[in-house]
Amino acid sequence: MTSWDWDTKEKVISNLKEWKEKFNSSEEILVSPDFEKIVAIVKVQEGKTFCINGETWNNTFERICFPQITPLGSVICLALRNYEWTLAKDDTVMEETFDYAWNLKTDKESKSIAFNIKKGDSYGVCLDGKIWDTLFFDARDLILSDDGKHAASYVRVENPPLLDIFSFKKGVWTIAADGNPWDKNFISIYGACFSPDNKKIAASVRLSQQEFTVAIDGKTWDEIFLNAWEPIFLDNDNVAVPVKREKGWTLAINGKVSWPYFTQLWHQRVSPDGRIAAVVATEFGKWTVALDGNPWKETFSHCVLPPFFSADGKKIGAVIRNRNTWSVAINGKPWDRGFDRIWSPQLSPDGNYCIAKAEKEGTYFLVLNGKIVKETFDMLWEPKFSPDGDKILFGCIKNGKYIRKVLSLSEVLK
Amino acid sequence: MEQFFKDPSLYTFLRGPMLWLAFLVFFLGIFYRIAITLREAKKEKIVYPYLSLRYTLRSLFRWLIPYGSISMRRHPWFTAITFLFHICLISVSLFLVGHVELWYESWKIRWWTLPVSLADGMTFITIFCIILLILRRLFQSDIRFLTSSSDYLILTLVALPFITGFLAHHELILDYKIMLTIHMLSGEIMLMAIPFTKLSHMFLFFFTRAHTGSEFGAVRHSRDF
Amino acid sequence: MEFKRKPITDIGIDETLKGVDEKKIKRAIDWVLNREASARLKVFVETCMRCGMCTTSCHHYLSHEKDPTYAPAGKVKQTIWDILNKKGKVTKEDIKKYARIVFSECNLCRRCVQFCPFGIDIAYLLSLVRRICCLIGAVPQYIQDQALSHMQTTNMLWFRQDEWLDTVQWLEDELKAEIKDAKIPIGRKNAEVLYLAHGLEAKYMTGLLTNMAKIMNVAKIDWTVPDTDGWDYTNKAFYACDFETMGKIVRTHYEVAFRLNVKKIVMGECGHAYRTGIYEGVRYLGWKESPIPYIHGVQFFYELLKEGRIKIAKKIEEIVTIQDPCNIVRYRGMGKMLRYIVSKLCENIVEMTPKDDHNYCCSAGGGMIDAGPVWKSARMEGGKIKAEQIKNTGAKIVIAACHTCHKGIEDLNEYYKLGVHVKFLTDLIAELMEIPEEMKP
Repeated sequence: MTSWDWDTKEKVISNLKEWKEKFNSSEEILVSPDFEKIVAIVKVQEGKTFCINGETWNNTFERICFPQITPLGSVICLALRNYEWTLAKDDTVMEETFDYAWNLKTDKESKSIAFNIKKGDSYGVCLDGKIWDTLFFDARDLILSDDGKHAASYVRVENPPLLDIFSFKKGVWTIAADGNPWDKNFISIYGACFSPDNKKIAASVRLSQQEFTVAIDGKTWDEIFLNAWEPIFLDNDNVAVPVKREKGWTLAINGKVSWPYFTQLWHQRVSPDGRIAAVVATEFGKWTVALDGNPWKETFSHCVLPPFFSADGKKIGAVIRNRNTWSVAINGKPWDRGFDRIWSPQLSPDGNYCIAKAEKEGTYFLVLNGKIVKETFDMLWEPKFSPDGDKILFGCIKNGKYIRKVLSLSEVLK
Repeated sequence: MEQFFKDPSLYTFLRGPMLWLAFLVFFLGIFYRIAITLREAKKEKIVYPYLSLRYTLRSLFRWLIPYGSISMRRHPWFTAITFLFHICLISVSLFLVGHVELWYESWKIRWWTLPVSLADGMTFITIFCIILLILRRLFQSDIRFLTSSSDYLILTLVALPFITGFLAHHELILDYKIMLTIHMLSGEIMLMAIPFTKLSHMFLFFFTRAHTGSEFGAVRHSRDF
Repeated sequence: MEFKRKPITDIGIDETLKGVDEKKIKRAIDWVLNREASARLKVFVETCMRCGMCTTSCHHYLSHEKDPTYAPAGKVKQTIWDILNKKGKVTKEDIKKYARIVFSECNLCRRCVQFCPFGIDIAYLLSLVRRICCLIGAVPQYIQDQALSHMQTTNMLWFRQDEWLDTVQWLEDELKAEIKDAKIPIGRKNAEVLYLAHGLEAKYMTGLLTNMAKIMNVAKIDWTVPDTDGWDYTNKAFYACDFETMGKIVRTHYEVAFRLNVKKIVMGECGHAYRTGIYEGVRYLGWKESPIPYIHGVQFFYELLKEGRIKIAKKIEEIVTIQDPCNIVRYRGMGKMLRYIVSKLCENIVEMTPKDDHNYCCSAGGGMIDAGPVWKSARMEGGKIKAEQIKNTGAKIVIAACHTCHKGIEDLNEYYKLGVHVKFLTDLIAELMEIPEEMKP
């Protein structure tokens, strides 16, 4: 981020009107994290391809799916050519082909690329061009470790005929990491995540109708709960998961109930200073965020999305929906205004400012600490703070042009 | 009360301490049952948040006026019987001259009373309705299937005060005072049974209707009648 | 009157019970009746005066020559009252009988509730028995199979993730033959509408999904379908009162919507999914109402027509009648919207009696059709009154805006030789709407 251009106030990157004349259609517009590139899937005579700042790829495909721009700015996708699926990255196409490929993912530093694959009747994962040695009857979802070195997927290791409920009830699902399945099967397994050191996997598992617990690397906790949502690693050794007991939902850490009971509890997250925040319903239809088990005083009628933190962990925010409009609440205080939609708010490095992209009746604008920034846009991409917190960078479409803009905080505050 | 201490007899006992007890059990019982129900309804989570006064009243209105619901219109005879039965039962209990006199004797309070002949007729109607309800239980297959002995017991429990009251008033079968004693006893038993038997529908009605009326009206935008 | 039925074997119930002891049964009963249920159970059981006002409200009773064992309160007597009388000490045979009653003789349509002077929620009482059966594991095989699929895949038919994506993609290719540059966007962030499909629309009834896509394209809706699990709006776990799974499914739908940042979820023509999506599932999770709008196909079409986003080019002239699906009419008062749409599509409408929110259930709902082929005869017998109702209209077309009603009435049509066609609104609208010249290929 420090190497990005924070000085040019306004850069017209591309005139999208010209694209419209040049190509039959353009869809799936994406912008790069530094807002320097705008990418769309376009139709040319030979098929579909990417147009990046007006330049097209040489390769064309019958279909382009899961298009993404990696954190380092590479354009990747899964593409169909001659009825076979493969991976394309920056106009180079992987040699290996698949009967199907989906769930394209990269790690945070975009070192690795992984996706789910189908070969013949077998399912698995392809990580950095290498297909798992063992394939399965089914593989669903892809979980990539932070370092990008390991991939996991929920796999079906038994293949009973349809309607054989007794076999299915014994459990046919498990998780495979790098192609190696756990030796225990479950009725259901979900919410898998890697530990911060990328060595362990935790997932919630269902043992029977009303028996849920957490399994770490295939070993289940002794404690059984009435229900459970997705676990997270607090650090390399400790796992926290929302669980249901007769009194309600609570947070269990390493199997021990550690929070008071709520009507609902999910999306627990660890703050940079080591506290746990989670979305809770204190009562039926009353949603808020609880920090280390203590809910905010103010509650919201419709829902609360996962909490996010400032760098020092002192500010905790969440997107909320109250009386049918979206807004943001920081440390328990909601913004006065509500919007039709709001996109992933960002806290400034010092935590004093929060900026978000919002929409009302089809127009897009920026919102800083609840105040609408006057300028409106035809389209807008989620703004970012500069590392020093003085500037705000974003991409937008205005009058048919894609523009990269940098505003100083003082300009925005005006 | 005083009478009983001056002249202890079964009659004065029923007229004094027993009546006190009956009313105490009746009111405290109702209070207790409502309190428990309200507490348990909280445990259900989904009852209170959806309650709507407007739709509770709509529901009560539709079901407290004769033929206010499609169900009642589909069962014209049964509706007639039950409405007559309930109206007569409540009116006679509350507005019979003899009953009001007793209140006046003890508490010096008095309210409007039914003309004696009307009260007599209403008592007769109540008894007649009970007989019809019993016959219905005996001969209508779907209701016979549902009925157990306790349903007859309840009907008998309600019928007894009316039959004995009627007989006492007309001085039939037994001596007036003996019949009156039985009348008081049966009335007191009925009173005490209300909170703890199916007769509790007398007050629970308003709660079930509030819940269902609100669910249908406020949540589902449809009719519960 | 005795409980007389032809013997039927469902391995989901019979086989499961072989491996169950009475302790497990008692535990399930105690759990459901003492821990999960509370005021409603007690008050409903106590206030029932056994008056029989509900008896003739039930299509099963009316279809079974007035056999009182099919009457609503009769079914409560044979299940909940029986369990309470026996203080939970019931045998496997009892459970078998209960399961038969609650899974194959009650559609949870709640018509009886409208006829009860006390508003006793009889369907709720019978669903408690379903819950008991679920905890014991004694659930019809076909429902259990679908619920087991839902537990991991979130869809009803063990569909793999690529199968969904692949299906949508070839449907899009097919649609291009009818609509120029037709699109079925997959996993597109920030679309306005997230469309969820019925599981069967991805396999056996793809035409319906194509037609919905056609309407979306013609109406120029900014829409998408999920690129992950959660695309199937059905929730068969609900039929078994498997609330754990039901809640997970509904949560997945909303989480997909939050992730894609859409404004609303639109679903097709289905009753039970709508019910779980706005009531049952949502309430289980602690939401008072759906966190973002969850729009049924009927409401969606109603709005499209009202706003003029689609125009109808021609009308159907044959006699048409309207089936009111319980879950969207008795449960959501959509009768008027439904009639508005039909009036735009059809010239001659003859209504059934009774209609709208007092309409009879199709006898397939509440999981009866999902209970599988062994229970089909129960469904056909229970639907006799519905068949007569349809016959009396003289209609040639029955419009059923619900997958279950649709299939249920198709089966009744065959069984009772009604000579009608059953139609979805989606198919009719796609067939009758105007396609602007510039959209034709």
